[in-house]
Amino acid sequence: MRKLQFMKIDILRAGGNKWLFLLFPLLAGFILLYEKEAQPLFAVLYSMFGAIIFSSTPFCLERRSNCGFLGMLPAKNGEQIAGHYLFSLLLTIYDLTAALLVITVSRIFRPISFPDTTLFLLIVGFVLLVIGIQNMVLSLVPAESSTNMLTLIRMVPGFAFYYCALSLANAVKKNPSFFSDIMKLITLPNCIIFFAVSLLLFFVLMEVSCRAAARRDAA
Amino acid sequence: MNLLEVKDITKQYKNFTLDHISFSIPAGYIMGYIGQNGAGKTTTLNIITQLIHAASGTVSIDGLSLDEDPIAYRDKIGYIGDSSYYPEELTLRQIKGILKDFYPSFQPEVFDQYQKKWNLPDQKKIKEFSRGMKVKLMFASVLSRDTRLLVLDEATNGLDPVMRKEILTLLQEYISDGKRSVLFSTHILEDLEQIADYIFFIEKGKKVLCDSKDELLESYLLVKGGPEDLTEPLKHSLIGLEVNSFGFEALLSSRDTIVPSKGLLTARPSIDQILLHMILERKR
Amino acid sequence: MKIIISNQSELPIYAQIKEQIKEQILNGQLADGTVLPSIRGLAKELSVSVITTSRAYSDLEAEGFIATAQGRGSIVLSRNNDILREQYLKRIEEGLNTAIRTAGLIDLPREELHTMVDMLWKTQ
Repeated sequence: MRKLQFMKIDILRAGGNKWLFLLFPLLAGFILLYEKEAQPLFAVLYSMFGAIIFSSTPFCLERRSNCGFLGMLPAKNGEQIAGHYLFSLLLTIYDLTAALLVITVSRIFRPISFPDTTLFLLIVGFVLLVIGIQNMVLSLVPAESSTNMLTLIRMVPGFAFYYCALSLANAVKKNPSFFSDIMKLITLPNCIIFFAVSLLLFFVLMEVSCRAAARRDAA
Repeated sequence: MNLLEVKDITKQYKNFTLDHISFSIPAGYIMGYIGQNGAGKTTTLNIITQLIHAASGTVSIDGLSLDEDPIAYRDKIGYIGDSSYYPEELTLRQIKGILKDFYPSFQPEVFDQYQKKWNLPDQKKIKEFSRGMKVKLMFASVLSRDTRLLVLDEATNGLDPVMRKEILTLLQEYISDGKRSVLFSTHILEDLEQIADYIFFIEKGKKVLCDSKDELLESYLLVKGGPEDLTEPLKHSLIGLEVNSFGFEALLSSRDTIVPSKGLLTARPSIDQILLHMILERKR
Repeated sequence: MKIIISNQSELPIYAQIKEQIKEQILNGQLADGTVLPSIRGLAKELSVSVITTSRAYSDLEAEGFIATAQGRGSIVLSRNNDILREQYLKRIEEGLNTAIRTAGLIDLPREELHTMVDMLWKTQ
């Protein structure tokens, strides 16, 4: 319950940025409309790139001075971090919804279809894993480290994810047999399982970060 | 049972060590925590409010220590510092919402009364609040909850005398049921002069004295005289001697049997005169 | 009840409070059975520490002027009680000693002093 309340606080603090969080989906929208070769999956990828980067916002806000109030709230030490995870989840859903809306709007003007469910689940599952690990790393960074270090850690996962996705797409284009091998694996049931496992792992990572923080502060 | 029990806390920093500090405050009383800048006041208070961890020692409030139940412990303390600890981008209304979510004993009606009394704006961001308004908000949040210990760290710095008097009255109101206590660290010693029951004086991380304020004030006499009055036997008994070209000023223990000669002026010292001369004495 | 505290006084604050209350009891301004403000209430009103008013009250109790019941506050004791009587007798002695010493200064004979006492007693 307190974890949800901490998530609420993160929403209050980062809420001023809610239009900024739509930046990537909107950009994706433009590209969908004007770029002939654009795929709908691209909108999803672009949105998720944004979600990964912006889900680190609560961790950065934590490091500002003037947060003693939050540290003094009667809660266990890791619960604030759990709140950050829940915020990331919410942000991911927010960006996904935006991406789907953008695709829907684009369909009025261009003959594009909704993304394949299989690939969709695959990407979202993967993103959840990336965010989970990113959050875990961010929670372990000590409070005194420089903001430059923090910025670096924030930027890496998002770009890495995007780069990987693009490289994979290119590799697939160049090497169709490689593609068909992989495609055999990417069936709907497998992807559903993958997504479910990723979501589970996300919550596991959340609990682990939570406990680690609690034990660390008690030391 | 004492409301606040601090036993043997230590903390090591690069250039500073908090060395086995112990004291206690019975329920219903106010303790002033005084010392120079850097003496260890804020470190001690931060350990009590658990913003930082002590290397050793224990702190308990109403018999409960933080390790036993961090949530209940934090609920018992109300902390007010000299700078605002609220995230600057939030508004008062949002902070009220957070207080309601996290503190079971929070009473919104009481909070509203304070807000109305002090004219605190509902929708403005904290970063637009003046210093006085920020302090008032901290008090409003803390007083709208059920707490056992109020910890003030230089909370009255930079406030006008009217506001300071209002706060002193609030503190006395807080202890009036005899069940709650206040730990008040401040440089504005005249505030403590009035309402403090006990005084703890810390210097360079070590305890110098811990006494009831009345006894402290009665233990010393302030002595002033001309240069010719500074006889050798007198000099020996004087504490924290301060000399200028026209005379001297120092403390004399009340138990001292030295009879001050006619030319000397003796008076009851104030807390900061005692503090000053004791520090001077330790510097020798 | 009237209490004024001076920061410039030689007397410590608890003593000032004690003396002023004592004075008002002896003068009859504080009648027998008057309930005094609580220790904490008084401290708050006067803006002094609780220990200070506690001490004033416990001294007054030791000297027989008031009685404190736990949870029910303090009341002014009847001026006929024994300990108080002692105080009054002391006061009378002090007054008489002053009169006797002053009489000695002008060589007033003892019988004249007695006559003066009788005359003044009748006018009171």
